[in-house]
Amino acid sequence: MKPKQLESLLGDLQQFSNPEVELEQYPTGPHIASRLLYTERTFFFLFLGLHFLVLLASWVLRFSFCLFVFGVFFKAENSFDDISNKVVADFGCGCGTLAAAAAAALLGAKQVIGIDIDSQSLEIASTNAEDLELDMDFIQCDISNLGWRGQIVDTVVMNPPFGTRKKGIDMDFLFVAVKVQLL
Amino acid sequence: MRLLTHNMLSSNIKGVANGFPLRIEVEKVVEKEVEINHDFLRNIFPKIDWKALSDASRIMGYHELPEEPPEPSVLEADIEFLRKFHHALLELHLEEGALLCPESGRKFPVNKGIPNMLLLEDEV
Repeated sequence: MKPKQLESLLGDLQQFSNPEVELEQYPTGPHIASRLLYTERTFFFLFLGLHFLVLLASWVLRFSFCLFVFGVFFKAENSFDDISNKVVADFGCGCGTLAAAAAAALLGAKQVIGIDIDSQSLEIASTNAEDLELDMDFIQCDISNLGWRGQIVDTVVMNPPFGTRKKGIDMDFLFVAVKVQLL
Repeated sequence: MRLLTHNMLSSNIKGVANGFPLRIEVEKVVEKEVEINHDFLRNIFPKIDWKALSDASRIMGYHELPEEPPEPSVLEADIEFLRKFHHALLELHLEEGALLCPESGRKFPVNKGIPNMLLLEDEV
């Protein structure tokens, strides 16, 4: 599937009907979602890294460990040779745009799991998955108390809340994403 | 919710030492066929808690999986076994029911295939 085809597919997805400001709900654009999944491996790391760098730049003095976390996240991704046969999780999936992009774009067998705190979003995500005939599981939970066993998840994709409403939530997401891949 | 996901989820209630595996209460199971991928199954096999998968599949009404995990060599040669593994792991969906914390018995409802793992204030 070409990036433009994926972009077009994602454009048809249903989005939040009543976005909740406190949860920082907003749709991940089809263009950015499709490009995220398709960029060159090294650039993928850079992009993700840059995204987090920008995110973390304002916190760097207060949380010096975050650079370490960022570096570790990078390292965890280096053993990412074969993009197929992976279990992918989307933390804070919302209406499932990124999760759907992962499910549609990643060729070969993979399982995509979307996690979000809001039941309305998950219902929309579920409908979207059905409409696109994509095979995805969804879990409703708060990311900070997710009980997750083992290291089944290979890759985490996410466009999490940035912490504009609930301070520090971005770090929670980053932390869990790294933890899930390392433990 | 398929059993691959169930194999990863545990109860994170305060005070619970081991919240895995979650017990399953079945109200409705749906079978959805999905294309088999042998490589994927071979890759994921070492990460799966076999007993949890085998017990869960039995509760969901599928009795073909052995209780003891097979030798890895079985996965290389036995296609029929791979098909059963595939079916239990990826094609059985708990559509309605609940997941129960093995220690506290607390129920996490499952509706339309989505488990609700949100904790109450006093459980965090």
